Amino acid sequence: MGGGVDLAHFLNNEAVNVLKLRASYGVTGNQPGSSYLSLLRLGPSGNFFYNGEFVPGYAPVSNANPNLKWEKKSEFDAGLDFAFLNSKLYGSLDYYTRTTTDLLFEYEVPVPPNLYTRALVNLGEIRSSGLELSLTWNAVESGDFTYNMSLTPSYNLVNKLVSLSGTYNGAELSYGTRDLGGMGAPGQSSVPLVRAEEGKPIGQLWALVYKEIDENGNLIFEDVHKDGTIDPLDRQVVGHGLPKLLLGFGNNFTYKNWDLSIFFRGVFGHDLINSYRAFYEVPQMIKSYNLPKTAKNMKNPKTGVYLNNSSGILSSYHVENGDFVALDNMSLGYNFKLPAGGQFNKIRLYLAGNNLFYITGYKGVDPNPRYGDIEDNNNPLVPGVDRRNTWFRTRSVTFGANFVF
Amino acid sequence: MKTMYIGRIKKYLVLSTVTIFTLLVTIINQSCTNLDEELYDSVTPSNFFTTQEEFISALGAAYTRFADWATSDGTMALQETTTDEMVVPTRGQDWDDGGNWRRLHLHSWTKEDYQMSNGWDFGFAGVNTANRLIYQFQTLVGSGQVDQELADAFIAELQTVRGFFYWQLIDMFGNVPLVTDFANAESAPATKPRAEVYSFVVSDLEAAVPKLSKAVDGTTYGRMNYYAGKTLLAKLYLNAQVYSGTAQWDKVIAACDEVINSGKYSLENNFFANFNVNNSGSKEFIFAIPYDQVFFQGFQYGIKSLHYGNQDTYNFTAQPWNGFCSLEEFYNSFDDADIRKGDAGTLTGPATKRGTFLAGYQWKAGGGLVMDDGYEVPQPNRQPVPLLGDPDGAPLNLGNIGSTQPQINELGPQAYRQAGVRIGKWEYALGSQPQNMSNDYAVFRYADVLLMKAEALFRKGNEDQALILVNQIRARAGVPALTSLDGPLSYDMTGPVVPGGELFNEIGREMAFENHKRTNLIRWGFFTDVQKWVLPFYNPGDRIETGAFTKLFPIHKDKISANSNLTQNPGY
Repeated sequence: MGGGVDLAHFLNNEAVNVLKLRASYGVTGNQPGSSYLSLLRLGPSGNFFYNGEFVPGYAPVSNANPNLKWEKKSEFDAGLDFAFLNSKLYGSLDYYTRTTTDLLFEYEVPVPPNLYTRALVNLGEIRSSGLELSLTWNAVESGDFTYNMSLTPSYNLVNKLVSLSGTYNGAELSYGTRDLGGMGAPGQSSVPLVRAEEGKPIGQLWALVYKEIDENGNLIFEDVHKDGTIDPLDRQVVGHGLPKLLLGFGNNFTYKNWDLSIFFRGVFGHDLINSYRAFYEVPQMIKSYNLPKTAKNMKNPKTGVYLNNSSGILSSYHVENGDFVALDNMSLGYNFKLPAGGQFNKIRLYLAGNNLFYITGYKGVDPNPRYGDIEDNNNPLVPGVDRRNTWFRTRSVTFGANFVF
Repeated sequence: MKTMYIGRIKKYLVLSTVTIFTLLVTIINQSCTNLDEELYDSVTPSNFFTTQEEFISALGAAYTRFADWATSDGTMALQETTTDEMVVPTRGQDWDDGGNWRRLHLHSWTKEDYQMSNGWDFGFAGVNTANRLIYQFQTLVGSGQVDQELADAFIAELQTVRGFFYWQLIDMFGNVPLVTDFANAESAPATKPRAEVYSFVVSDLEAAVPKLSKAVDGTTYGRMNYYAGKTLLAKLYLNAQVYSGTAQWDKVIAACDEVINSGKYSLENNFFANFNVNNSGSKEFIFAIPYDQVFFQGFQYGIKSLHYGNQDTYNFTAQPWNGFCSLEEFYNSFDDADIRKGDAGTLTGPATKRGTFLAGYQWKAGGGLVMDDGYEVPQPNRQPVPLLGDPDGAPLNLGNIGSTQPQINELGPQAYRQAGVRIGKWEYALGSQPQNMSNDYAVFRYADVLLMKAEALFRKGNEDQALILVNQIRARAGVPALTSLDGPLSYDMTGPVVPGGELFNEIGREMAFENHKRTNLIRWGFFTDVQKWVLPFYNPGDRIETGAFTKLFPIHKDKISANSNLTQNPGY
């Protein structure tokens, strides 16, 4: 549902062409991908050796949840559409807040009494809000030359995991925290990547805090827990997987028969776990595989003694800021003026490039934010993980011609 | 500009109408249809359990839970790698895994280590399945669908299965919830003291076991028969001092005697008849898990223990992961003449005698030495301990047998990849899957019963009778009879003579890698001696924990967040 009011009527100012406030609210549902999830199901679970032969055994593969329902996403949006200076400058500013409740999540449930260790329950709540601006300015419109630019920043104010708690079958499920994701083999099985924590932002990257490589080549982490040992209790929030600011910046020029458009895109404020570095920056393994160039930094700066571990170990050292500006798209065209009545009305030759360059400090292959973990069904609670199977984005350059009949 | 505004209004009107319409449709739908789901391709308890066949499949569910007994990520890790006979060093790029394998060996585990969760699930998945099936059988009896007598036998068997899983739970975690009623289970059951759970399990078993079949044949193979039930009781009584505070040595002897005097079991002449690929039906098996590479998967020593290069030794279908191995002192506690030890491969040929260990030079199935391509090169500048490198270069020599260097150099962060004698007790079949071995796994076997009785006799001061039993085991192993059970401990051979030390060592050698070592160490009071067997470690973040609280594992934090009535064990 929505409604709006045009303020320009009341202002009566010539410079203001449109000034309209509007607001809308809507609720949508999101259904899980498969059926029968609300039932206690039995599945083939190995075999049973009965009287000299194997017979299939059946065991619970899910817990019943008769109250299972859709996820509910409610969204409120308040916006201001505007146009000034004979509509030379126009655009809109929006504030949105989205709340997803009854979030479907697979919970660890008490066993006993439940038959299966996990249950799908509608308990979680996620809230996000932000500001989105869309601005277009027809800056120059003089004879042969025109220039307009558009700027579309969007800023995430809040991205919060409000709750992961509630009751299931009478049992209080309280997930103050839950560690998700997993680095994987070799040597980093059961190493979590993200801590989901009630009341905290989504995508808290979770790892040991790197301190140094000591004079003897030992890897030293912060003993956060101050118990003289480095163990899972020493893991900390070492970054945030979701971006704060997304920016689009478009420029269109025309001069006589020429046209040029340049579109930049920037994303800021997100961190990435560079798992490629976390696995392979290990000088000891030089006999086994090609090391990344950055492996040569893995030494004590004073003594020059290289890291004496032969296994990669994820720490804050491998969590990098992913800020970047990219030239996503650029095209240059020439329009041939054709005499009327010819075979073609218009011919345009153009040269266009996609994904032309990135300006970033990120050492991995692709600094774009990861909104979900590709090794976990794109789990949205595990953002910010650059897995090892990331490929370079293709860069394309096209030379083409448009013919208009 | 005005038109644009009106256009917007229209758009919102349309949207609102659509919304209202959708709402109406939803309301109408709800009011007139039965939305209960009907299942066609899945099984639920209401459309299952109607024929005799399904009955047996259902019973089978209680036994399929045993598949995790020999997988490495739960019970086996907890019961073996925490002891003086097994370790998972951090080798090459493998087995760091957030340090959790090292923590298990150093006893500095935390409530976040995932093996704690798996061990708990192993126990409670078994308990729950048994509870559910007991309830379902009782319901069927109530409705007249099943004969009372048939159901009684099934129910007694399920109680015994449940008793087994509770035994493991009180052994590992001590204080656990006690849930026995499926229909009226509490939503968040609280932990009960270990002694209370122990006394329930024992009295439940004492009532159920007499109802079990005494047949020892195909009908009870891989299932809990009367003697398996007695052996389980013997295990509980044997550890009664630990579990309940009161020793029960007489009950151990009585339960073992039921098995021994039945005449239905005996020691196999060949020790390895218990561990061959085709070992089902060993005269020694009291309760076995019928692992099979297709039908009953989960027996993983092959992939978890052997060196990468051992793929060629057995023409395995997959490359092993070079993990679990044994410790030097434990290996050396076997006399060279001990049939159970086996011999080591040399540069002239592979090992000639099979053993509990796989040691020395490794050979390919088709001939030729296995090479370790990633063998360690000397790094004299490495601190604090220079890495001397693999003295014999590329040929793979498990444990560096015959060299001046130790068989296992260190725990981490960079143990030699060829270090450590491996687990060879169960035969590796040529061309098999190392992750799904087909050998059956005796959870309870006759030799164990003899040793349990021997220990109970010894504790009661009857060393002479105990020696007779121990020497039966030794005779089969081809080692001379003992005249005293006292001696230095296998992990401290240069240390003092300990009363019963030789008995402890003999139990260790006979039952090596069979998931009893941690329980034995705790019962003997040695578990907190960890610093005596632990490997040198140079990882600055690692630490040995010798506190008595380590005799119980912590409840994993996720289990507690799922059930706030669980009480964490002290020290965690």
